[in-house]
Amino acid sequence: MTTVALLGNPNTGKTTLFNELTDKYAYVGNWEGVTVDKKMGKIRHSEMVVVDLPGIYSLTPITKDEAVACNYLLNDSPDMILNVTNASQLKRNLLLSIELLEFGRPVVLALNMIDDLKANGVTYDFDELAKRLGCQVRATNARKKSGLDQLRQELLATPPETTAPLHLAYPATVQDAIATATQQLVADDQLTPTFANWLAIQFMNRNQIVRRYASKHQLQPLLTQQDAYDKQDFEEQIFQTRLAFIDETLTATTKYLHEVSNANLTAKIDRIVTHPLLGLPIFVGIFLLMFKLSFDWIGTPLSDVMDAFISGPLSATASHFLTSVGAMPFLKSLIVDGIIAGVGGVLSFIPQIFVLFACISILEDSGYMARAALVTDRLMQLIGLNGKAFIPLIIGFGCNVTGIMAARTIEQPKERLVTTLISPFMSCSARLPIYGLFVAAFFDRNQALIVLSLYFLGIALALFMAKIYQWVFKVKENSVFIIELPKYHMPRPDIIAMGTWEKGKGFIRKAGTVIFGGTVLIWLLSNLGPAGVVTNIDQSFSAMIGRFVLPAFAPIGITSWQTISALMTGILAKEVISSSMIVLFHLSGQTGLIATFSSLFTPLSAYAVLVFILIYAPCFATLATIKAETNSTKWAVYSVVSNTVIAYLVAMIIFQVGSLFI
Amino acid sequence: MQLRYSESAYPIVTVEQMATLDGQTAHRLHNLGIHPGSQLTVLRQYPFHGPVIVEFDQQKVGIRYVVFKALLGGH
Repeated sequence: MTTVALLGNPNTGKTTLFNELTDKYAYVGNWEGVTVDKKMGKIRHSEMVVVDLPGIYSLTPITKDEAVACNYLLNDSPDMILNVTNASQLKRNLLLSIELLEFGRPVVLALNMIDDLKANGVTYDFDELAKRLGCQVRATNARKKSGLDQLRQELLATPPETTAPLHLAYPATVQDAIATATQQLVADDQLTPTFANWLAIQFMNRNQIVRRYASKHQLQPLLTQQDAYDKQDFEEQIFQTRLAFIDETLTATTKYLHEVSNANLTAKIDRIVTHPLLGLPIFVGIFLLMFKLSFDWIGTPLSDVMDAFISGPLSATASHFLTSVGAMPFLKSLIVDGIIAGVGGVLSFIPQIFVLFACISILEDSGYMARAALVTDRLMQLIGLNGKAFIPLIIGFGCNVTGIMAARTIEQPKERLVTTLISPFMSCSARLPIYGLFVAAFFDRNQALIVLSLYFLGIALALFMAKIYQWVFKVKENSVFIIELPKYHMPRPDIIAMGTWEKGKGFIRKAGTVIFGGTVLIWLLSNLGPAGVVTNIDQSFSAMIGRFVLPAFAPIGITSWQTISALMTGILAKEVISSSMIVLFHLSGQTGLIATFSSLFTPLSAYAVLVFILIYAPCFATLATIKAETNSTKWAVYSVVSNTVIAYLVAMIIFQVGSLFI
Repeated sequence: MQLRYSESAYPIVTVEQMATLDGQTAHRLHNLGIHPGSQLTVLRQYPFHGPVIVEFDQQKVGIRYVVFKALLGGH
């Protein structure tokens, strides 16, 4: 089995290429204690495995994300490398290519987005480029699926053997040092000459991962020379040599075309959306539109149809069927009142959630996200974060787990920690079902606005807490903020569909596992009591537990123990709250629950409960991610405690202050 | 090479130095291909010392105002 590593700068279309080249996600897996996913897939009709790695600018990592690629080369040693580059930005893409070519494995260089290059009136002499770099060169356009068959053939035909690595003419002192180190490494440590050569160059280039690797393996020839290398600033000399080589190569291979297309959509759009004054209002407008689509225009009507089907025909048919086959009343009740009502109640939110995910996918695919980071950077600076933290937070609207994982692109560890801790305040899609129910029960008009107000409250709280963490952790004012503004793409329907599915499938999977389990658990707790099966829910276990803690929740306006029991199950997964309520109140679906609410809450206490639900303890999946990303249980526990306390305080203030006026 | 924006519309500046930048910022800018002597086209500057959008080598990048000033040799 041959392994091909897919490497390249961020945003060069690696994942698009990966999805086009391979069948599908073979699996997503972890490896060697690094809690980062690598995606693997097989090239169609072959035994060749492609590994999709996070985008990197160079092998010397700054972010956690980037460390993955370097570690992969060091530890897993792929048979071949597919280096994906943005053809229009070859100059800087080649800085990474050189490092890969020096590694000494066969490299296929894909010049992706070749159409953009040609639109600028430029192309390259591919044969000459291939000769100078010592690798195969292929022009592709992954989005338009051109050049992919040739690339696939090229990969399959390339013999997976060690080839001669690229040798650049580094200055004599550097060259001698590399030669000496390589010789000793081969002699003393039994490394292959090619690997030793690459290792020596990376070591001189202050690659922290390689330096750690050297200390771990006690590579004395390098370790003893470290100070000497750094004192002579080998890093800068290596960089200058590479830059000169790239300039020379590109000058010799660039060809100018006659026709230049003048259409520059990106510049036109950017003139408006990155406008110094209009940028922020446009950003808010886009979000408002996204919420209107999800909750008013498309999502909610579809959800209503689905709910009507589940609580109507589906529930009635199942009930009828179970009676006709003579199922025990206990079992029938479990299936109809527990599972169909509970799980179905959550499933009816699929349309809203998928519309929201589709909107986020469009923003991601089009290239707007980078602009959003840019226009919000100045604001984020005020709270000690940078615009890049905004992207994970926005993704957090879909799911906090993916949001926290997206925080890996943030350079400073402290800023990453702060972003991780405030991520759960982003109102994830799992919290939508319960908002939907309360909003439908208490607010006839302005439903989207009420939901939007919760989202903004979450954002405001996140910013406030970030400011506090900045002060507590002493985050420096000057953080790294360098963000590329890619060219806009017309969002491609299949990429949007796949992105939406990737984000949303977790929700459906949870419906079958955690929500199903939670619903059954709640149903059992509310139908069993100390005395066995109970017919009156007031004597059940859940009533006992709920009543016990009820007094503590009086100050935020909760007067029913059912609500408390439902909130507790929300820690399993937030989607469970609404299905728990349906089960606890013994109702057939959403519509019944909405009617019941009016006797339990006032609009004010309903809003206070929503605020509590927005803020309190993150779900298990999020807690597990916090633990994994921060490498400590402490922060996960801290999240549970602090968020619950904050939720209680904010909900109490809203309820108590509101009570004075209403 | 063909520029995306007409030269008269946007100012072009030259990177004077990178020594006073912090290590990580300098490293990332290096990776993007910025070095002393690079020509940057300044596309936008945000108010209140917000980010600056510069274009070079067919790519557009947003950087902080302080970094931008440092590149030009100021403080």
